[in-house]
Order: sequence, then structure tokens, then C-alpha cells
Amino acid sequence: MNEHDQLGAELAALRPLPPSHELKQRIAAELTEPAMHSQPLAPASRRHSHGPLWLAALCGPIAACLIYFLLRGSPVERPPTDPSDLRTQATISAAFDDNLPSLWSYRGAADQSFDQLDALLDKHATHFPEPKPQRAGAFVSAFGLSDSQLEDLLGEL
Amino acid sequence: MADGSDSWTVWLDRHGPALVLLARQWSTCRADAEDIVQEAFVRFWRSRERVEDPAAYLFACVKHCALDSHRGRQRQLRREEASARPEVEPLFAGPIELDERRWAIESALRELPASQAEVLVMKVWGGLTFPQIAAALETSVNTVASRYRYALARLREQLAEESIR
Repeated sequence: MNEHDQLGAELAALRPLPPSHELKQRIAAELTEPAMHSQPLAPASRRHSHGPLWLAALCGPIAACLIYFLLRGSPVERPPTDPSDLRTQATISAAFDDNLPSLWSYRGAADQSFDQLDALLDKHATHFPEPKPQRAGAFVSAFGLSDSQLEDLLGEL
Repeated sequence: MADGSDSWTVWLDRHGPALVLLARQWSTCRADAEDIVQEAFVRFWRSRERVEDPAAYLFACVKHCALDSHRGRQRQLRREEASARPEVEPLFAGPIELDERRWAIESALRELPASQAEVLVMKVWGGLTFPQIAAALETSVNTVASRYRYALARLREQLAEESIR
């Protein structure tokens, strides 16, 4: 018997402490209860245990679509949109848009302070610059006179 | 299994002490080691029929669960608490007159690298063969045999140093 064998025999003579009684009880409890909590489950039982999740995943989007269509109404039954409605909506949205000059925005600014009103005027002045000179003719022609008639008129003056 | 070993209690009685000892390599207290064995054993028992060598698979389960547990944050706190405690829980049972030698072997075993200690535990107290240990650790038989020899040599050195002190 060599040194390794002697030491091996001495080690083998030592008895590791046995598992506690509580460990046995815990294992017994786990092995006797349904196999829902353990990790290495058979595929069939794994599918079964995750059934409610799959059901929720399928029913959720379907329910969401149904609610959406119920609230929105059927597109077939919806009457055609009146163009005047669109204009009204555009007007309403423009009335509350600070970027556009409107009575609403000016009144709101004036109620707050003159500085607010000045700031709003400056803002709209940069957003809506003064018409360029070459467009002046277009405004004048709105009176029904041609350019040549206007020149004649100016010449008379 | 026609030899009556189809009862989980037979398996636990036969391998339980070595399994707890193996789990102790990665845990600082016996309670942690038993938690590991519990999880590993239940996992083993529910899937043992799918493997060729159930005994090797059982020890492999303990090692995997022990490594998972070792990484766990909750175990980290318990390890810190256990390391703060001065007393060391014994690994082996034995007669009192051999206590000094037993303690020397236990402390030498704790000093071994984990790769050598696990081979030693599986071979000496688990009763596995080198091929079974190789299967459990997913390594070659030669590597396992080398680690076993290194483990014994290191143990002998440490025990010799201990006897000199």
C-alpha cells in the first residue's frame, strides 16, 4: 500500500455528517407536491403551468381591438366627413395656437401684461414678415385695375 | 429500477452525506449546503430517467446548484454573517479520540482548490469512479485522475505541516 492509498483509506474512514432530518422533510414535501414549482419540468406540464399567461397574451390584444372599435365606431357606419367640419376644427385649433395671430391669443396676452402683448406682437412679426414690395401689385390688382391702368392713374396724380 | 433504488430516500441515504460535503465546498455553513442539496436533489429526481448515469448526474446537479447559489446575492449576505462567526462547523463525524486528526484533515480539505476538493469528495466519499466523475464534471478521465493525485499530495503536505506545529 503506497502513501496515496494509506491517506485515501484514512480519508475514506471518515464519515461525512448525514443530511439533517429537516432536509429530508423539505425534499419529501417538494417531491410530493405538484410539480409546478420545480425548474426541470416536463414540457407538457410546463405548458400547462404557463397556460394562463398564454391565454392572457392572446386575449389581451383581442380585447383591446374590440374596445377600440367599439369606442371608435364602425368605419362603414360612419357618415362622410363634412368639409365644413374640417374648417371648423382648423379654426378652433388655430384660435388656440400662440404662433398664429388671433383675438384669443392677443386678448390673453393683454390680460396678463403689456409686455406679454408686445412679446406676442414681436413673435408674430417675425413669423409673418411684411409683404415684399414686388407683391404690392397683387394687392392693388385686387381692386380690379391692371398694372397699365394703375400706371396711368399714378401718372395723372 | 428493480433493485429497490427507485425510492428517493434510498438515493438520499446513500449519497446524502457526500452531497452535503460536496456542497460545503462552495458554502460556508451547513444550512446553505443543505439548501443546495435540496434544490439539486429535487431537480435530479424529476429528471433522472433522462440520463445514462444517474449517480454522476446527481453530483453534477449539486455542483451546478452550488455554483448558482454561490453567485446569489442573498447567499452573499449569509456568507458574510457566517465568516464573522468564529466557530467552524464540522464536516465529518467520528470518535472523540480522533478529533484532532479529523480537524486537521478538515482544515486541509478546506484549503484545497475547489477543482481538487470536488474530485476528492466524489471519489472518496461519493464512491464514484473516475469515468463517472469525469462525466459529472464534463472533463476528461485523465484530468480527473490528475486532480485526485494532486489533492492527495497537497493534503499530505498540509497534514505533515500540521503535525510539525
